[in-house]
Amino acid sequence: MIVEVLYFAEFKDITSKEKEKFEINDNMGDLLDLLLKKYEPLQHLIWDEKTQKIHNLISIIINNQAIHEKNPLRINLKDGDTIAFLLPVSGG
Amino acid sequence: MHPNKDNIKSGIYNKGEIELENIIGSIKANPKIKKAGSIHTFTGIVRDSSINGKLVIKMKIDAYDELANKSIMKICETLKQENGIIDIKIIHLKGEFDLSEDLVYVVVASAHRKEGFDVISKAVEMYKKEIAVWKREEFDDGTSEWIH
Repeated sequence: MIVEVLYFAEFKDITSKEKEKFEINDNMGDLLDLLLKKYEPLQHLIWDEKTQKIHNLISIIINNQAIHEKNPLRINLKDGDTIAFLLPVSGG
Repeated sequence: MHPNKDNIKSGIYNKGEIELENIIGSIKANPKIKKAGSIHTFTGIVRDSSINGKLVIKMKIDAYDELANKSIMKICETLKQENGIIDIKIIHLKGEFDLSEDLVYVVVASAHRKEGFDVISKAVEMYKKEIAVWKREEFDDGTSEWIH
């Protein structure tokens, strides 16, 4: 299936893209593997080495809705889903 | 977003797309404006120093428009329920900004001034925490940093 990742702030700087499509098998873990292999500097933003989990500062958004899951790596994705990983906000 | 000057919607706009006087005009076009005794405005602008005291020379604002627009509308709907509030609009700009350029506008029409001052303050605290907007400060030493 194909899903699309939206990039904001640091993510946009690191990838030099606003969005990008990835072909994955079925879940968030697959997507994260591909994303972090392609863009190694995203690792320290998304992945918490101590806990071996997605960093708890990161908000996961799927199809413009915030997702609250204990184990987000197991979230099943659907073809056409749009995903964003957001750092804490800082309005002007 | 493309502003209709008689009915400007709260939300994210590109720099240069909208000005404070357009927003005040839109608030004044609200048929309920006759119940208002005051219009309050807040304008957030680019400061020349970071929270750590570094010299800032430019700022970039990025936004997740769909998500930020939803949050801004929710904040406005919540604050419209407050006593004496006739109308409220929150406009956050995105793009590249020089020092002292406008970043964000909050405009509140209220029956009495105290209600307006209170809600302006609440609106600023809420948008700073709740909307999907990020700012990157660029410093005079050539470095830059996204603020979180």
